[in-house]
Amino acid sequence: MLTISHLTKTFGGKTAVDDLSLHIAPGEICGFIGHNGAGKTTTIKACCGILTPDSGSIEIAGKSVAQDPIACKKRLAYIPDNPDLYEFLSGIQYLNFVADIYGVSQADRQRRIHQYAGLFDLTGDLAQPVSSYSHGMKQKLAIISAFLHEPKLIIMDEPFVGLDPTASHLLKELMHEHCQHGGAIFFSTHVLEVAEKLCDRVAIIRRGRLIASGTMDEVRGDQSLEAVFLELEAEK
Amino acid sequence: MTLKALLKVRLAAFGAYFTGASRSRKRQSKVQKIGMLALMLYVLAAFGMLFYTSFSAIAGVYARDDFGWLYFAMYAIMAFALMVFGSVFTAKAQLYEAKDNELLLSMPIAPRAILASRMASLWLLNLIFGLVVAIPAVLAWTQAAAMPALGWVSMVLLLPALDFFSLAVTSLLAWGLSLLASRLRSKSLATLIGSVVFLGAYFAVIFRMNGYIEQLAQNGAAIAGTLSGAKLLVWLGRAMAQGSAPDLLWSLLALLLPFAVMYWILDRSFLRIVTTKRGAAKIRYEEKTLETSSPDRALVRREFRRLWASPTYLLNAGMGMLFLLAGAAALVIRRAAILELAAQLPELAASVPVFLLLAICGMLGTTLFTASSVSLEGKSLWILQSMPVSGCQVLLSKLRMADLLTLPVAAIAGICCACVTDRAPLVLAAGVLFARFVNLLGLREGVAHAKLDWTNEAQAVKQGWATMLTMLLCWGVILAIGTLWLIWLAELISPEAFLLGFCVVFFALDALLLRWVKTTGAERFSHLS
Repeated sequence: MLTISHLTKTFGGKTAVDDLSLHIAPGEICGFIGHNGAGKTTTIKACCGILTPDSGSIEIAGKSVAQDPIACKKRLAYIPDNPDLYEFLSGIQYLNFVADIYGVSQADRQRRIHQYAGLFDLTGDLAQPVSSYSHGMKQKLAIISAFLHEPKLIIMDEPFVGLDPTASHLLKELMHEHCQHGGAIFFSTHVLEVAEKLCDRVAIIRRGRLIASGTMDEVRGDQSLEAVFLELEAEK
Repeated sequence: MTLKALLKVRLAAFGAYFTGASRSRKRQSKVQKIGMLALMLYVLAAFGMLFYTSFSAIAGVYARDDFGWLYFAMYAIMAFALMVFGSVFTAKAQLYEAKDNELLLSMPIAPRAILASRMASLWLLNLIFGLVVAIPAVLAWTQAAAMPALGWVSMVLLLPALDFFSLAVTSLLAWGLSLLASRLRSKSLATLIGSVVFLGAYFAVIFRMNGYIEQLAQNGAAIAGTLSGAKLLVWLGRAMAQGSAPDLLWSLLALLLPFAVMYWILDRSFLRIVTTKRGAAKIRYEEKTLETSSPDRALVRREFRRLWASPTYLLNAGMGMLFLLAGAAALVIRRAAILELAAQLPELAASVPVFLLLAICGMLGTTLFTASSVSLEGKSLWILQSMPVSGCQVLLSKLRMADLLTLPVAAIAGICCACVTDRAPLVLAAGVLFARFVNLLGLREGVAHAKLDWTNEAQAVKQGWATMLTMLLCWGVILAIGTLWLIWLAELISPEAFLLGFCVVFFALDALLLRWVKTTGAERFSHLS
C-alpha cells in the first residue's frame, strides 16, 4: 500500500531524512517511532505530498506521489500532529467541504458523518465554529474527516495526543476495522505501549535514518518495545 | 519588583509597536527600526500639522475677543477625543482580551500588578495622542497671545490628568465593546458597518473642516455661552489661559476622581473579568440534508466563507469596493454639477472618460482580495496540500471569489459613467479588465510573498509584503498612465483610442498573469511551507 524507497530530505544543510526505505502492505498498521526531531513528521509529510523529497520515491497503491500526486491523495487521508483546521467554518461545514473535495456522494457523507460524529460524541457540536473547539474536539473532527472518504491508506502524526480515553479506544478500534477491510495505517507515536499493542509492524527512526524495521515480533524479540527502543537509542 | 518586570515587558511591546518589530517575526535591522520609527513620527507630525492649522485659524480671533478659556476648552475636547478614539480598541485588546492574561495569572503575579502594567502602557499611548494636540495648540496660542506662568504649569499638569480621565472613559467603552463583541454572531458584518459609518463620519468631518473652523472663529461668543455651563471645560480653559490656581485644582480633582473610581472598580473585578468566558449561546446541530458540490465550487465557497468570517479581511480588502460604489452613486447624483464643471473647463472636458477610468482604477487598486488570500491559509495550508486538488485549482478558486466581487462592481461603476460621458462602454470594459488585473497581480504577489507564520490574521491581511506590493504596483501603474496621458498622449490621440489601447494592454497583461498563476504560481503554491 505504501512503499518508500531511499527517501532523503534536507533542510538547509541539515539532513532530516536519510535514505529511508519502508514498505507497508494492505491490512497492516505500522507504528513509526523516534525521538523528537528524528525525522518522523518530515517522512509523513513527504508521503502525503506536502513536502517534496530531495531524492527517493514514494508510492501509494502503486501510484507515484511525485508523478501522480492527485491520484495518490485520493487514496490517502492525513491527520497532522496539530490539527489546525479552518476556524472560520463550523464542524459540519468542514466535513461537508472535505466530502465535496473527495467526491463523497450525498447519501454516503450523510451516513458516515452521522456514524462517526455519533461515535466520537461530536454530533451536538457540529454546528459550532471550529474556533470554539478544544484541541481534543479538533482532533476528533480531523479523524472523522479522515475516515469520511474511505481512504486506502491513513497517515497519522501522533493521533492520540489530546484525545480522551474513550476517543483513544474508539480510534484504535477504527484503525483495526480499517485494516480488516484491506486498508493500511502508518502513524507516528511516542506512546510505545500503544504501538506495541496496536501495530503489526514497527519502524524506528533515529537522526533521519531507519535503524529498525519489521513486524512487531521481529523488532521486539522477547523484550518490550520500550527496552528495544531505549537500547537502540543508546547505541551510537 | 513584579510590576517593574511587567512594565518592562509592556514598554518593550510598546517600542516594538512603534518600530514595527511586532509585525515581523524576523529580527529587524537597526535601519529598519529607525525607518519605521521615522515613519511613525512622520504620521504623528502630519496629524500635529493638521491640528496646528485648525488652532491657528481660531487662536487670533479668540485671543482678541478674550476667549482664551474657550480656546483651551476646545483643545481639551480635541485631545480627549483623540485619546479615546485612538486607544479604545487597544484598551479592549489589552485589558479584556489579552492573550497572555491567563499565562500571567498562572504565575505568582498579583492581578493588581497586571492591571497596573496594562493601564500604564495605555496611559503612555494616550499621552502621545495628547501631545499631538497639545503641542500645536500651545504653539498656535503663544503666537497670538501670552500665556501666564501658572498657565504653563496648568498645561503641563493637566495633560497627564486629562490622559487619566480619558483612560477612565476608554476603559469603560472598551469593556462595553468587548462585551458586545462576545455576544455578536455576525462580527464581520457589524465591524464592516461600524467601520463604514466611522469612515463616513471621518470623511464628512474632514471635508467640512474649513467650514467648522470658520464657524468656530465667527461664533466664539455663542459657543462660549453654550459651553459655559460645562464647568469642567471652563475650569480647564481658565486654568490654562489665565493661570487660575483654583481652576487648576478643581480641574485636577474633576479629571483624576473618575479615573480613581474606575481603577478601583477594575482592580476589584479584574480577575473576574478576564477569567469569565462570555461566549455566544451554543448552537446545537440538527441533522439536515447536506448540499453537495464539485471540488471547484467547494473551494470557491470556502473562500467566501473565510471572507465573511473575517472582519479584518473583509474590511481591508473590501473597503475600496464600497468607496467605488459610493463614488459611482455620487456620479449619478451630482451629474449636473460634474457636467457644468466640465463645460467650464473645455480643455479638460475631452479627458473626462480617461479621468473617470483612472478614478475607478484608483479605487480598484485598494480592493485587494487575492493579495492576502494565500497568506491567510497560514497553518492550515496542510489541508489543501494533502487533498486531491491541484495548486492551480486552489489559486483559481481565490481568483474566482475576487472576480465575482470586484468585476460586477467595476462594471456598475462603468455603467454609472454613462451619466457624464458617452464613452461609458469603453470605460466599463477598461475598468473590468483593470479589476481582473488587480486580482491576478494580487494572486501573483500573494504566492511570491506568502507569509504563513502569522499569529494574528491582521499580519497576513495588512502587514504582508504581498498586499503592500500589489497596492504600490497598481498605484504606480495608474500614476504612470495618468501622467502619460496628461503630458503626452492627450495631444496625440483621442480618449477613445486611449481607452481602446488601455483595454488591449490590460487584456494582454491579464492573459500573461493568468498563465503565470496556472503554471509557475500553482507549482510554487503546492510546495509552500
